[in-house]
Amino acid sequence: MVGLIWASKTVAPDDHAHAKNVEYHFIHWGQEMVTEEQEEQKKETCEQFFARIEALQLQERDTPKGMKDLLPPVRNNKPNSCGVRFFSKTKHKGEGVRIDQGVPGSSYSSQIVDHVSITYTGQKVDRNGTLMPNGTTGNRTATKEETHIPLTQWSTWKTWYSK
Amino acid sequence: MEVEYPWVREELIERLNELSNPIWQKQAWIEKKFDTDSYFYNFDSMIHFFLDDWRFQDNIKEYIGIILKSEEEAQSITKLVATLFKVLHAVDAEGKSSDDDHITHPFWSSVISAAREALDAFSRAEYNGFPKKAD
Repeated sequence: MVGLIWASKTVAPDDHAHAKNVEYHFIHWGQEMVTEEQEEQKKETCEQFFARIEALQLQERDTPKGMKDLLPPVRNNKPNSCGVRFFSKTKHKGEGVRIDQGVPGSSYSSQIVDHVSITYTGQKVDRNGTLMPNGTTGNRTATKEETHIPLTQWSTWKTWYSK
Repeated sequence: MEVEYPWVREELIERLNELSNPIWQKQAWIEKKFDTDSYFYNFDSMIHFFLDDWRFQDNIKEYIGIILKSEEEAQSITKLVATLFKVLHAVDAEGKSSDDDHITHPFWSSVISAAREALDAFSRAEYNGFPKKAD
């Protein structure tokens, strides 16, 4: 019988909550075959990204404590920029988490994967969970690597703003 | 008047300076003449600062005392944010998205003007007006 048979699905062990990383394998006469069309279908749209990230606030697993206390999510304003912002209840102080979708072809390694940018007491938080130095001096010297925390790393933090 | 987060105010003023300077924008955002791995020196970071991380489009008056010192400053930032949105939507409607597409768009001059007006408003709040020239 000629045709495609859905054989299995695999989930990255450290990333099981993310549908993006679920891979479907197709078998055609005993050989694995994924067409370009299927590859295209695997890419996550902004709407799918929004749904996946906004769901983080509702789940207990793979989410730092305190996410439920943040305000409901708002989406990035730049068109075609897939990102979601969760503010703390002191929104007027800018506190919260912004999660942006990874850009596979980005020249910045920190932006290839889904990444998190945190503002706490008006300061950026680095990958170690440490507040960046105050003011523009801190932001100017900070690299994107420091201010963009991979979502998979941040998911293991104790709270949304500290490691 | 003191503000609660003077370091964010400092960053805001620095970003206003950059939004008011088209030569700097071309060098930093397009030609990448500065430290391109910095969080600071890119167009996306500018947009995120105004529209996503601080969302100055929402209840701007709440920032008075936190970052801003006066209603005049708040109004000037509101006007600036409106011009940024106008450019973003216009560029998107034309099916474009690069940094260059934004800062070369005909509407971008209104962003530069609004940023300069905001700087004037900040100067008045900071120094209670410019020093008078000697007669």
